[in-house]
Amino acid sequence: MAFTRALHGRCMRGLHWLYQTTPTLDAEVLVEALNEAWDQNLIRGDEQWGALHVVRLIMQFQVEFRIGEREGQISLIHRVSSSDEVRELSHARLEAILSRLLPAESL
Amino acid sequence: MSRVIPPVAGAPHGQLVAGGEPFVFHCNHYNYWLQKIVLIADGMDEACKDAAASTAYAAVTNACAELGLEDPAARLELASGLFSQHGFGTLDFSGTTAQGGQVRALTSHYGQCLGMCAGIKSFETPQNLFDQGFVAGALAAAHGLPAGSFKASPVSCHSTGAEVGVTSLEPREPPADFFVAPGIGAEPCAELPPPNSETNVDEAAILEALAGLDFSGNEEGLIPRFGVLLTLHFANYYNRISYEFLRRMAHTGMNAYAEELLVDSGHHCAFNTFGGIMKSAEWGAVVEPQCKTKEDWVHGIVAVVNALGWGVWRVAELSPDRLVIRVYDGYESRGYVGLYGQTPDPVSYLARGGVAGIMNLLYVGDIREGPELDDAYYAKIFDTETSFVATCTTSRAAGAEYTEIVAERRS
Repeated sequence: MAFTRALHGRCMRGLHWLYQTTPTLDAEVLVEALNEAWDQNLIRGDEQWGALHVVRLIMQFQVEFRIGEREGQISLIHRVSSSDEVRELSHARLEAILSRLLPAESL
Repeated sequence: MSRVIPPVAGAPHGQLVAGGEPFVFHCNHYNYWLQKIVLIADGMDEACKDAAASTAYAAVTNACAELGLEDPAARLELASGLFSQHGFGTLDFSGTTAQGGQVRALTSHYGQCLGMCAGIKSFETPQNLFDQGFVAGALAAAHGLPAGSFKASPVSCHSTGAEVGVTSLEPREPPADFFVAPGIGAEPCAELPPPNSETNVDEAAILEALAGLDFSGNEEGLIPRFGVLLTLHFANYYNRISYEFLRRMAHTGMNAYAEELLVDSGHHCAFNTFGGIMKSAEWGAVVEPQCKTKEDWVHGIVAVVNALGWGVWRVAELSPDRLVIRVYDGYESRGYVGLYGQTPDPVSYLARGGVAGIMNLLYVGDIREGPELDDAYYAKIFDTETSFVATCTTSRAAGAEYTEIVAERRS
């Protein structure tokens, strides 16, 4: 796969996942794709971390995405009150987008 | 998403104040460990609730006065807004009147986020003591009643497996000795030295960068940042439950043991909060680019501490075997003086744990290598002969200009 996913760590017990893509996707392309997948219902917030520009996309009470924290990294943070079903759907939608946008790995 | 909230203002020497009460950032790990420790002493569950009720009562009362809110519904809206904005969760007061009732917590930091630290899904007893006390104090403030007018009892709690946290509030005669939150406590010291200049780290630039990040509660009223869940919590809540714990343990002859337990909760705070921060993407973007040496990492995390509302920390001395931090107007000392008056005994337990933790993370282990912050790593860096322990050599609570914490290796 052109992306991997891993748990951020034990602090948030399965809430925070890190996706790593190769190559790094253009942030606005990814934002547009995520918005389309969530029917334009994502709330956007932009933060400046030093020289980095981080985009936060939030589907309230379901999931938050953070794009731009590190090269090639996308954070997926489930909301505490989200159900297992919603969490699985969030992963599935993001992974479908990544599979579509990333070049297929050469054999 | 709009909330009615008391604005948080920066006050002298690093304090964050809202509704006349000082607030400090702490994470779910510290909240878990501190509560676990203080509940060892008899009656501390009610003491925790009363501390929460008193601090909430003070902040809500003062904030409503500042904003001209007189209607109980408007006051409860502010209380709910404060609870969510500060990362405690979400509240529904619709089942209450001036005679009490039931308050629902749809989400809860204490109910849902402490289990993450304990590594368990469910506790045997409700962990939402703070929530119970907060709603008791808020309801009293909303209806213009004396603080302590409601007895809070748990009906259900997320931490024991419930879907929603419910607290029952019954009217009572306020206890005569009900704790009164002291506000900002002792007056700030007059002089504040600049940051240590023997570093590549620019503290002002770090503070400015951190000010651009959103540390408010999300739509669930929770603050996921740095890989932990933060609360912008009442300093006087922490102080009251910590010092009340010591007072009760002193009656059992175990005061020294109790003090070490409080320092240990500071160790866990440092390990998880400081360690989490130093492994975070935010640190990688804002602080790490300035760090050329291991010593710069010490200065960097001290700069971040100065954004947490804990007071102002200054590095007075740093070598691979020794760190001296001077804490100007630390919340522990100011709060103790506000609560009980001056004391010759040092009272800065969290600071001791934090200072030792910084050295253990960098000079026993090496957080720069990105280690997994698990129990094994904690033992590896905190529980060895070469681990650092910290002592307090001067105390603001005794009238000194600053509290000085010295961390040196155990052996």
